[in-house]
Amino acid sequence: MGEAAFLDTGVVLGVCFRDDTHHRRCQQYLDKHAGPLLISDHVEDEYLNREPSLAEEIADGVFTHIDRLQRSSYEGQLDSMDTSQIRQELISGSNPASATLTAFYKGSLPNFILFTDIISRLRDLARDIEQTAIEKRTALLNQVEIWEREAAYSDIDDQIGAIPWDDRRICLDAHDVATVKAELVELATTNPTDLVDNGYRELIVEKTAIEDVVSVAKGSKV
Amino acid sequence: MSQEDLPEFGEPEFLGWYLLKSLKNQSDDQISRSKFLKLCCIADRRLIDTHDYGCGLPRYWYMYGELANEHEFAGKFYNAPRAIGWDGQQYIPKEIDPDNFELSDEGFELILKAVAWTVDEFGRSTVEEIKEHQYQEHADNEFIRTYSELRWLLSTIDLGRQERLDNYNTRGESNEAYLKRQLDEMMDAYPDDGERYGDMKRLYLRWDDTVRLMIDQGVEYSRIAEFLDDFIRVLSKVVLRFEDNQHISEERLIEWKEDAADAKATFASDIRAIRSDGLRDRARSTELDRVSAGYTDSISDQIEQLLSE
Repeated sequence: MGEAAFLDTGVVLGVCFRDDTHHRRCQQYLDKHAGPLLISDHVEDEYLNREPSLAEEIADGVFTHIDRLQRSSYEGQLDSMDTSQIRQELISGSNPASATLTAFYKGSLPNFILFTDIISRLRDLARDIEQTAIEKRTALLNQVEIWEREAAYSDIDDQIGAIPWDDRRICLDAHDVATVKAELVELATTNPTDLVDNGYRELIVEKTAIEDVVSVAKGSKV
Repeated sequence: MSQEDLPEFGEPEFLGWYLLKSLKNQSDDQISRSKFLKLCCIADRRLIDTHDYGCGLPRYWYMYGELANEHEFAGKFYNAPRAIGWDGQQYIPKEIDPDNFELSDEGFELILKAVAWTVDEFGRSTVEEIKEHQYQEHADNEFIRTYSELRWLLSTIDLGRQERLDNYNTRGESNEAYLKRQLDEMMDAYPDDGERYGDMKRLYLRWDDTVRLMIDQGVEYSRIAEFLDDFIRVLSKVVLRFEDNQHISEERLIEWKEDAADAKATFASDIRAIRSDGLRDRARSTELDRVSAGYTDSISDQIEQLLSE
């Protein structure tokens, strides 16, 4: 493992927002890494500080669903037929929380439940979603250094031109860290297709000052 | 100002000027800006509803009541020095010969009647009482009445001491349950039609849940009242004053439009800060853990969409 680790956009988003194996792999990588962690200033601007945040959009989807429920004719004690009907009729396909809400009705409700308890649990769900995102984001920002690159490195940019621009830009940022700080830098990515496979890893290691490119995507060895 | 220098005052200005004169004749109390602008509207509504005569008073709905837009008056027919005893201005009519107002005979006669009625009915009322009359009688929809009722209720208690709410009905419910029921009523009444209300819906639902979070966390009622005011102020700037107004100039509407976008953006960021504070102090439930796979699907769609932008 290199002295410093530069995290690409996918790792940052995985750590902050996801709640699955992908997230756990990214988090595990961060926890195991002993050296400094860095992210690009534009990743912070475009993703971490994005308004409204991804979690807010999903929480808003839950609120929209609560609003529909409040305006529906359901009340009192509901049975599993009622909650199944709610799942089928009151979750709009365009709702950004539709998969979350479907999972809520399919897997986590008892056979009989009060309407008011459903609303209360949905509010808890929306708050958990936002709270978790805030906590993860805060924890990540406490762990990482935001890196702002000044040099363009046009010659290197040309030499690794086969890599898509967004990923190339991260490579140049990581290269800048290695050059400016004179440290060994490892680039961590969740996108092996464009940064590791097909000879890209070798290309990057050969043409830049990056020591290694490692994939923390599902199916890769961390 | 000599009478020759006066601007071209018309009927709206006469209504305002005569109202101030009549209030001063009734009592020597100071007249606040808010009371003056609200009573102008009540007199104008009386003129229209009872006498079927419109004088063209510029007015609009703002927060908990209706206001005349003094910026649309042709000039100052009043002086507005600093009030004594409260933070604001008091309104005093200038000495103006009524002949300086451009009036129809009918307008003159009917405005005198409408103003006389208004001063008789509301001259000695407080601003809070006038607001209550306005939202009960003239609000554009049930949502406005419902949030105004909630605000009225919050204003009738000793907010600083967190005393028991003076519930209008006696179901024996807790303050928290009562406040949440009021919020439910607001949600039921939020207008479904109209582009402007639709545009504010996301922020409204987010505000609503944040108030409920504050109630759950035992935040002081005074803070909840402030947060209600903050929301209603933004709602007024983004929706209400466009939906319910008359005789507002195109120039003013353009200014309002610019102001609306700023107010909405600022409020969105204020809610984010307030909500983040509340969520930081909250004990997490297990609801997200139970739907982890579904949530990951939702967030993956969002991330893919974001990365493809």
